[in-house]
Amino acid sequence: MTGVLLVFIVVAFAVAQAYGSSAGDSQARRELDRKEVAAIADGDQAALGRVYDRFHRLVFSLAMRVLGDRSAAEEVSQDVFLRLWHRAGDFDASRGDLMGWLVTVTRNRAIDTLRSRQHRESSAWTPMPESLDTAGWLATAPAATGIEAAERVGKMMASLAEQQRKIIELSYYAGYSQSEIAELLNLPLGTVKTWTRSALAALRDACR
Amino acid sequence: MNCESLRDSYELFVFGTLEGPEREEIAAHLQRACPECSAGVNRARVLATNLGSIAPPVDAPGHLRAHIMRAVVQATPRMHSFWESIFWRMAFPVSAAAALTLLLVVFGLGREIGSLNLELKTLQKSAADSRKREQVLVSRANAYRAALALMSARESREVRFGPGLKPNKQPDGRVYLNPKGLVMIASNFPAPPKGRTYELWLLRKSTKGAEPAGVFDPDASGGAMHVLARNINVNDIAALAVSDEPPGGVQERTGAIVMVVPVTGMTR
Ligand SMILES: [Zn+2]
Repeated sequence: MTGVLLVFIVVAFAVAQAYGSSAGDSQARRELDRKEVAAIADGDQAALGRVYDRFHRLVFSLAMRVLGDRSAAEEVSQDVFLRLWHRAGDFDASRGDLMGWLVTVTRNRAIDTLRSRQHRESSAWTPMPESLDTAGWLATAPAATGIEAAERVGKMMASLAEQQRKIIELSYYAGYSQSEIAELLNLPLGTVKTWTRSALAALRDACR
Repeated sequence: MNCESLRDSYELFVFGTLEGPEREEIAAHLQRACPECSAGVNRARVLATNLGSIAPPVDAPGHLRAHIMRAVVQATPRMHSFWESIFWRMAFPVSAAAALTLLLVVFGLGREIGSLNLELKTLQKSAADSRKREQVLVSRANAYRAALALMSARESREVRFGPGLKPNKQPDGRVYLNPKGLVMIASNFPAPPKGRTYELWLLRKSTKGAEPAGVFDPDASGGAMHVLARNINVNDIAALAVSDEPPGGVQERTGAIVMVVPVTGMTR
């Protein structure tokens, strides 16, 4: 019980850090993101610095969570912000979501690094496209990723059964497929699938 | 497969860890803008972002910011915008304009080489960790020199490819063919598949075979320059092709063809 509580406190802190002062006001946050990315696209280095100041903790923490290694996490973080610098011109504010994009790219890069370090070759890993403009495969604008939703997700993660949480973590933070997880945890594939499905259903509800 | 049976797979699809036919099915539904699957994947993306944001907080090292800003200054696409402004905006007809453009190119390249040399000198003085960047700069400077020689040679032939007008996802650019080699300058190249690189092929008229002509990787913004410095029989080239291949390239094509450029209608 203390463990769960601790996880929750850590999570709440992380979320507050990630969202910063504009917490809760997703409309204002998106407008700010749009302006900053437009400035970056115009070659404004100070704007990149400001985006770094707001999101470096989110990016570095996620890279650390995946890799558990400061120098590798540093490399990934640098990659992510440089990519933002080069690709800012593609950003479509009506569809793109800067925080979602940063999380996607950070996670993809970190898992790529992890997989190559582990010599893990499998055709199952097919990361999401990293275009800042997600037009074409998203018909609707992204729902708000608010501080409350993230807190609920964190709380739900902490309340999952140990094995269920482990499975979601291996899938999300390490990019393992269901059959890789079954092998790794020495569980029948059917069990992994069932537990994944129920855990994801709970997390999905927490996002609403 | 109907949307109903894909409903439980949106999250793993977004995580990039979905196996089996569901993966292609969801991709196909998204391709045709299926409203149900788009909304489902969208919700899954929100969950993924939330999972990403609840990683235990760790402070980034203090020097990281300065590191990144320095890298940004170095990576600011001086070189790239130079290429773009010279090449992409010019119609390049067979006329005095072509000669003028070439002059600009020569002038610009000369300046680029000059500034690269300056940068090199500074670097040579600094510590061992700059050695890597130094090597990159040397090879880049050499490549620009070779490109300059090929492009300004009287006997070079220019072949254009791609849409030319408003940029889209098709690679677009130019190839200069010369008996002493070739140079390809392009933009809008998609990143090659993971663990692959691009390889250029010369398709022969005489043998109907493909001859490897070197490997290259586009930069982060899709720009690519490739120089092949060896004698080639320009008149025997029917077309140029690019495919993705394992690092270092191969002798016989194994990967998917990204583009084919017929060598006809020379403009110079
Ligand atoms: Zn559908």
